[in-house]
Amino acid sequence: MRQLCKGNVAIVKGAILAGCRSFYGYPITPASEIAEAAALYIPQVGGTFLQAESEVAAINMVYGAAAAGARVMTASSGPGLSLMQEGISYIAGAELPCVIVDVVRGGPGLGNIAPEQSDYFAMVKGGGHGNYHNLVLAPASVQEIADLTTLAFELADKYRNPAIVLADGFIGQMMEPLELEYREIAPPGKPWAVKGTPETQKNLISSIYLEPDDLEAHQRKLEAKYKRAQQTEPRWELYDTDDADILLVGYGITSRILRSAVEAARSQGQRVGLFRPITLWPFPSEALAKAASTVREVLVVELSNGQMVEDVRLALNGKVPVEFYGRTGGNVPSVEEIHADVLARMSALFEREMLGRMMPVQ
Amino acid sequence: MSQDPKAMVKEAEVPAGYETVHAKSPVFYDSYERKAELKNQTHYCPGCGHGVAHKLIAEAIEDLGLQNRTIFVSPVGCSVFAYYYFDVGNVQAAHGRAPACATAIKRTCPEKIVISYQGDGDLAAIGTAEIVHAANRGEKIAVFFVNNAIYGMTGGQMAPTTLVGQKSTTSPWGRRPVNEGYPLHMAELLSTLEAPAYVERVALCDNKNIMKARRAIRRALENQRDGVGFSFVEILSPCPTIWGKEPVDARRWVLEKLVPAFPLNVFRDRKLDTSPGAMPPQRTVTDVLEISAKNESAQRVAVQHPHHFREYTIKVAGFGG
Repeated sequence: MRQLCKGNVAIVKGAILAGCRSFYGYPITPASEIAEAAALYIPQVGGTFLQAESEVAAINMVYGAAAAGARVMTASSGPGLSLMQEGISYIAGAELPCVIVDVVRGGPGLGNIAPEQSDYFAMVKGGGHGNYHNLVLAPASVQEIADLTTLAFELADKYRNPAIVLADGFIGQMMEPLELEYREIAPPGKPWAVKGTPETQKNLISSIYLEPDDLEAHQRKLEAKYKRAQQTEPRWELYDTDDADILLVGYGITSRILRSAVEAARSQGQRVGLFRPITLWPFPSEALAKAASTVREVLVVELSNGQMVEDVRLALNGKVPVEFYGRTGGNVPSVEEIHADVLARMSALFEREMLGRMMPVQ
Repeated sequence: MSQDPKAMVKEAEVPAGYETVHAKSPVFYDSYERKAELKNQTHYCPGCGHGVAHKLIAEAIEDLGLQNRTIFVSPVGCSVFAYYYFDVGNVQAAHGRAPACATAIKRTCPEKIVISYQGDGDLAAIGTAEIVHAANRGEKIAVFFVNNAIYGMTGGQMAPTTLVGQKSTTSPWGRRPVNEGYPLHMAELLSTLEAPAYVERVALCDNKNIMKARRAIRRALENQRDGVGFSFVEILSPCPTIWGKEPVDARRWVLEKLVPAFPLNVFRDRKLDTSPGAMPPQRTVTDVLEISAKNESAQRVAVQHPHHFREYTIKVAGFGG
């Protein structure tokens, strides 16, 4: 049955479908409806909802519940995620599966409550202390925020690692049609968890390895796990990329605008395509390099001062010029704005090409 | 002659001319395999109160028959390695966050015995919010708070419970209330809350008081076994190394200096009669998620994540404050 649903509520519905019955959180705009929906729904299906005294406590409750084997989640926005970073580092170090949602707002500091994509570094590059990675998924619609939340639980358990759903204030706050499919969820057995049973009595959940060799061995193990994820988990989407001269790259809500810009450009015969990363970590570098192999320029658009653009540059490694267009503070580029920028770049490209042809060979 | 390798290790470690007088509680591991070295002794200094506190807790777990359903949360501080010793389920938590961690463990496994063991820096400084709120929610856990008025693990810095005038590496001329405020009385503070069931302060300063501590620890675990509520035992404890005292003098210092500043008392001992309040109705997943029931029996379909763009119109709803 199709329903009209707010993004923040769809997260909780996707989580319940994934078998999540534990939510620990703290309110913050524009993510509060997640905690509200969790408080409303999760106890009705026999689960636990607890409003913590802070995001610091919330993430450590997530640590405890995950240690005891629960499918557990929390959700917040920028400032709350900053407070959670210590806990996320512990969770990654102790290899505990959990799902963390960041409905990104404007920063730094208190910033504002309007949407940005400025938490990319904080979520994708780690953010807490030590060598670790989060698995990061970037939804672009209400349907996808539910689906990717479900997927996040599966990936978190598969890799025993925190999985982040990196949304933004738009996706969290907007309402769109949502279609959910009931599935029997069989949460995986967790023989490593500490459940207070004779079978799990020997288990220890910890991130401390006092001996240098032990800690290095632990980090090598994490590294191998991250490599496996990099090989199998990148997800992305292509739109009109086959013959593109200019390739737009954007994730989340921005990709929706870029897609309209591609359509506007195509309607005027300009060859523009779109690459949308769905997993931000692991970043779909190979797929992007392939998609960009025949284009003349790449334009990255973000609601930030330029964060994902660094990963795009690393993926393309200087083979294609990578340009950036960003808006911040809650401002969102219009389709016309992007299209105009693309047009200007196109004509500059052709001008350079014409000049190149006219220059005498030395 | 025993062929059990653990028993052989144990036997070999007893030096000639010595004999074992007190048996070790079976709640402790025979050999501390998680330690890198010296697997038959703890990492605690001679005369440290942690050893006594550990022993009292282990014996209480043993006597109450709780070993195979106990989860012990180790903190950050000298007792960060408590999991070296207790043969129960072990979780190590971030600095100050053990009560939050224990909260969720207990709510995930309500039938289990969950212990949060914390020092004064952990519980009364960095983790003040977590302990106050766990207590205020009446989490059905047992918290053992070892107060030795100093940071031991990091080498003798001022604790929130450091006495007025007491020197530390970060209060080199003694704690001055005008600069650092006064020692924090956690047992008194928590007993101002409605929810806690049991709050007592004890001291590891002489045999009589150690026996009182034994009873208090046992009481806290009995409370949890019986589902009574939040139990908190503050244990005044010697730290001879950092205090720069001989073990015997350190115990005397607990009695003569710490006890007058932190009075021993049962601050709370009651069972709160609480109504569960309005209980949420129990509904099926399909009902709650508004999925039509006919799909409910459908077999799980391999998820085809619809990563294609759909023809949606965006509606931006208003933001809250």
